Amino acid sequence: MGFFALMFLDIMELWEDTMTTIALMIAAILTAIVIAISIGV
Amino acid sequence: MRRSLNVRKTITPLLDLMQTLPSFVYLTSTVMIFGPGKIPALIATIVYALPPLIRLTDLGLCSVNLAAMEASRAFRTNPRQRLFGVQIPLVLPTILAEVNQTTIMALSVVVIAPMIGAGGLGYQVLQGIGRLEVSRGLFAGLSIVTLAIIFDQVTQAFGKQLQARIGLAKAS
Repeated sequence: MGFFALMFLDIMELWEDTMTTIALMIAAILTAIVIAISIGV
Repeated sequence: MRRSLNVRKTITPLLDLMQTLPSFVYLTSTVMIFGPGKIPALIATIVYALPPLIRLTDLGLCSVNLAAMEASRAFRTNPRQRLFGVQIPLVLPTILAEVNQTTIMALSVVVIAPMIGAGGLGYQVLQGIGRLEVSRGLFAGLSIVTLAIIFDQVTQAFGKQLQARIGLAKAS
């Protein structure tokens, strides 16, 4: 399913925008996890 | 936060404030400080994602089985061993659930981040609205939904695998 989803994004010519969004999200989530678990513990 | 009452008293109202503020407020305040671009969008997303993560980590650690803690103390474990050997493995399902929820929450901010020049899929939606190009906005919206589904599936599968590895659940 994931493959078809990514293929859909590429066919729509939204690949670069998708990668920008994914990069922002992954960076934000990983940083938030590190900070939040440190504070939460 | 769990160990110190003073830290809890300081952080809890801050978290309340952070959860009450709309996501647009984060964007405007960070763009005023850092200027338009990806960095303010990243900071706004991090700040938006922090409160639920902190709260649920704290909640999970508070709800650890007392018998397990008592048993670990009986084995003369130090606080660090108790934290990494007992508490965090027991809280892992809660932490993974919160990571899943936070990922979807962060996506909602990342999608509006192009308003401050971050680019990404939200930019296509904004362009679609601005130029009244329905198809452009629709396909960008569908792509965002697709991305959310992919992230949801990936984080859930990762959580299941991690739990199976430490023996909390069976791998499917």
